[in-house]
Amino acid sequence: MSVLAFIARRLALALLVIVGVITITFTVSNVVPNDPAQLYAGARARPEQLEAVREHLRLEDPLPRQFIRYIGNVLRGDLGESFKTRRAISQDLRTFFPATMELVLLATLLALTIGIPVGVVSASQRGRMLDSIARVVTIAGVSIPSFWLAILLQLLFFSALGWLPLSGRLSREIMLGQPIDPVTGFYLIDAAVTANWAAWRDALAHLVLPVVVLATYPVSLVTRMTRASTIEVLGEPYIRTARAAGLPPHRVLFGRALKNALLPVLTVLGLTFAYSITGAVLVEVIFAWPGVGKYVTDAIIATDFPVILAVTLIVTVIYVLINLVVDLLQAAVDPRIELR
Amino acid sequence: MLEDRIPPSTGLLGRLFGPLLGLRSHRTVRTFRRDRLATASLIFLLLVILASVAAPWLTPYADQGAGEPNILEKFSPPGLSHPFGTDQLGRDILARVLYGGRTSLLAAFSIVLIALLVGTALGALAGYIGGWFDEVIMRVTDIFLAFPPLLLAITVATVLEPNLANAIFAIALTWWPWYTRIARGQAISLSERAFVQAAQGLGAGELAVVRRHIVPNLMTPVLVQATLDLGSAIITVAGLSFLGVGVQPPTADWGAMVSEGRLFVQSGVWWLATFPGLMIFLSTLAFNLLGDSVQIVLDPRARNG
Repeated sequence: MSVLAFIARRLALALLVIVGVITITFTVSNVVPNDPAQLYAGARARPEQLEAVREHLRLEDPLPRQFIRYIGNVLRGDLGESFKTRRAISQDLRTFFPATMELVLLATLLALTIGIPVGVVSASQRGRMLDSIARVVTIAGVSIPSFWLAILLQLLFFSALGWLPLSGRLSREIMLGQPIDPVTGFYLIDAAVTANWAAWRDALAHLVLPVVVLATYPVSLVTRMTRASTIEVLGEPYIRTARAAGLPPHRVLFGRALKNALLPVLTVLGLTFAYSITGAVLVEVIFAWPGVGKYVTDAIIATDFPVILAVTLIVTVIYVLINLVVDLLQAAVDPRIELR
Repeated sequence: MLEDRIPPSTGLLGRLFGPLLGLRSHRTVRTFRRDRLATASLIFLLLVILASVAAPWLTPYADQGAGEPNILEKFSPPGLSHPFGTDQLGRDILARVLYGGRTSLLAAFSIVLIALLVGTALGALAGYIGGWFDEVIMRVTDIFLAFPPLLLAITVATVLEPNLANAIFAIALTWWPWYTRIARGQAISLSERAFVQAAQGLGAGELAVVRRHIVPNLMTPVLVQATLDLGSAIITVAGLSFLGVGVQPPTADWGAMVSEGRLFVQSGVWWLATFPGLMIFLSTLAFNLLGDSVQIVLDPRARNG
């Protein structure tokens, strides 16, 4: 199959998945027992107010027509408005999304910078002490419930030692005294470009615990994956050749083996990035982090369906895109992969 | 053949899991036996399951485990009469943890069982029958795999009134596709094998072939996946309960207990969240260590590695 046909097929599949996901979420949030107009107008709304809301949201239209209108709006970048706050959801997301991405990107960065070197070293020390320790630690890392780890760290670093803040993105004093000018929405970057160093340090201190908690699973998974695939590559003839040719061990390991061992790691990295976006839900709730996860859990409690629908949609699109990119990258990097 | 029988000295794991997974050779069973961590995990899990089942007889505070408050003893720190302390309603936390094990473990086993049954059946049929049926099933699988699982589970559990049964249903809904994929891959390669084609040649119907020849032979990787999944299932149920859309009070559940305990962290009451969380962690860890070993035993490439 040619490269173009491959890409076209993958794109068509991705589109199918996204439409499928919208259909399911739309159906779920529209066959709920609650009356959407009632949710929008509040419990004490008078009948004529409810009527006005139905008119406004065009709820009298048949479901298929509402569905088509919804898709049309989404394509134009209009995700509807929140039942609770009446704000445009796309507007809300503009402030919440960077907060979540700040956590997710830093966690993924840790997964890369810790997971890959530890995995490679672990593979080269196979069966020895270091490797055994890494195995137990990484299995523990994928087994620990994030919300419990978060509480333990809060108990230790906030309650007992007082080194780090309990929750939030900034302290109250900084928010009132030296607020960060929103440029990108990423506080570390915004504070740095405006040379607001007090706020920068404060933002960093608030980031430590949530990022560590969120990164625990990806770091462990990437380490395990790197170890497994490095071991496999180390058994290949070309490595033996390199060794026999007298290349020093570290150059065999990092120069020759790592390049090929990283292929499967690429897939896992895509997966863990996607995982972190949903993993952020629990982390944001515990650390009162004003991100998409907090936004959607608040919406779930308030049965604010347009918000739930919008967030599910956004996260799914990111999921699908990541998978697509990973697939294409793998096909581009590894000529052995058959295009199907 | 001599090698086809498991010698009596193969250790607990070998004897329990060997026949289940169709392991017969000496060497695989011995690999299993050497893995002390896996054996310890299995023993730990059996103990936890036993203790949860026998909870009413193991604690003098059975009524508190079931939810009865005892406000005279609020927030007692761990001590002789209450090894894990008491909670905000004065209930013995050890009793709550024992009762919580019933909910948490039952939920985890149910989720994996439902996902396994539905997913394996669909995957085996899709792989064996092929054609448009396969195409439809696999595209539906793609859609469900694309859903952020936690988000879908939260939404479903909220829309249908939050309780244990709905939480189980919601999580199972996001899990079956993994089994479908595994089973399908196996079914495709099995359908090329001589014994399956012989059965076809003798005039066996499609369903009969799938039931008698395909499914029994694809169970090994499915069971490995199931062992590994039990750990994630415990964490996921706990996560839903933690967010308040799973098990509802006064029923004890590990995740819900951590969630309640979280409210008192700032006032220095550490024991409420710590013990139930520790149980989630240790049980998940044990399932993962066990699954890891089963996988190493079954996949020689992983063993050499």
